[in-house]
Amino acid sequence: MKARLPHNGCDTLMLGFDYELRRRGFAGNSCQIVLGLKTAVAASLLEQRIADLVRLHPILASKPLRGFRPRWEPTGKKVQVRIHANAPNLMQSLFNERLDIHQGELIRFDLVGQSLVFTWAHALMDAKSAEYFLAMVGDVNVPVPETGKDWYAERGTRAGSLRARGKQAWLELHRLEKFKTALPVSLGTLRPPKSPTLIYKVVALSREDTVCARANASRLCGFLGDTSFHLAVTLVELHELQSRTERPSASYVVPIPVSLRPKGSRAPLFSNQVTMMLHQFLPAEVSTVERAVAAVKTQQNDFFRDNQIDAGITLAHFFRRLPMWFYMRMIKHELRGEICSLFFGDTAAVDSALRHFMGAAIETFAHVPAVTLPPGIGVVFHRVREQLQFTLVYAEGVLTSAEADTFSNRLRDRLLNP
Amino acid sequence: MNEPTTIEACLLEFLSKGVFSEEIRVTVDTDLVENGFDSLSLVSLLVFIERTYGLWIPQNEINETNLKNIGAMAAMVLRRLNEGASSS
Repeated sequence: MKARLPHNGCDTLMLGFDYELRRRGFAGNSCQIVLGLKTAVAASLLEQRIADLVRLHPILASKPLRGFRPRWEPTGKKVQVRIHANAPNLMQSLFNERLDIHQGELIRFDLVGQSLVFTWAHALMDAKSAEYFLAMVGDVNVPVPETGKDWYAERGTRAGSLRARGKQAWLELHRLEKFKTALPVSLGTLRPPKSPTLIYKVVALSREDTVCARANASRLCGFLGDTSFHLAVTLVELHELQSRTERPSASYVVPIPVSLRPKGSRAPLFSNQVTMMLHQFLPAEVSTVERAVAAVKTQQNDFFRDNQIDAGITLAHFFRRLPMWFYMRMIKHELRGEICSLFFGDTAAVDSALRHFMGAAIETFAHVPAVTLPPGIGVVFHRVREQLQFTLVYAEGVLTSAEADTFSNRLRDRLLNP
Repeated sequence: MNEPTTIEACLLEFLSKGVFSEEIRVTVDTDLVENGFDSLSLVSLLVFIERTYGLWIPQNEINETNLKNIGAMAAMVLRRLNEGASSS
């Protein structure tokens, strides 16, 4: 594959979040997949497999170059596979350890007993690609996807001439301007973090509880309504959390990720093929799950009706050449310093290609996403062998440990009893 | 005049060009959900049907049976169109 892949608008956004986190002393915008394996894997075999993949895909050891042609530049850096003895808080500290992305460290593997921790720079790929990449690492027979088109870049220029794209981007700015009538204030702004540390907590529902939550999703949101249900429940709990711990916000702004890959395709693997539908919800709209579902559906329908998805992509793609400090200032400008109220993700069922890893059965799986500040809090849902899970991530000090426990317990309970 | 085959052809073109990848050879019998059709694909399809036929499909029609494949979906759209025509 081409070694010097350009950054699209979403890669740039992810680099922007990375810049913002590092600026505040955090590790950066790095995400993890944590696998619990039935048997431990040999580090030497894993190193060999990764070295083979890096030869095939030099982008895996590249550094981001900015400027007029923002792109990945291969460095030839060796990918690390480290072995650790288990210790208290080891997993949390691995999550808070920097990737040296500007020297070409975009991925890292840590082996802790029978667990494997895969860390990757979010600017390199999205969560669904990371699942499939891990399947490729763990099994030589998993086919490498065709390089394919950059769907994001294509949609970012689909409007045509510079004038037409400018008009489309302006529409998105105009829409965001309306958010100012009820400015959100996130927990991360109300409570600045005590230390540059992100804390995560994975909550797994039993199979029986998953059946119950899915039945609730179907009843309230209809067929294929799981993500809308998870979002509605999270919004209600966020509003209640903010009312309990500080004060309710005048609105809650939440980005909803939308995958741009055509269904049935995993290509391109290396680049983010995701855009964000930025929604704003007023407190009255998130006072009950039924109201939140109605608000989510109305806004999603309007997003598609008004072609706001392409407008957002065009705007982000326009900005991809800006210097990072200016880029992040622009991002925060519309919401007076806020980026959003909470990061939400739903990666649905784990990729079917990821069943074993180097011959070992995968017993547990978790996505652990980084969240930038503000808002300093995020929730990502995923489904592992018909068991629903969610991961709560927050910056230390934005929530206390007791508040995080209460929030996650209430979120789980509301999935079962909305 | 809307015929079942015309609606099928219209939905087939939209789904094969706008939702599914070329790797999936979509036909009127292809199981949509099994091939990755998700909630946001559904919203884009509903908006497409609204633009093309002036018809918003209500939630009670959005179920596993009606969204099984393009054939089932086209039959549901045609039925809704006929119901609309006979009631007006």
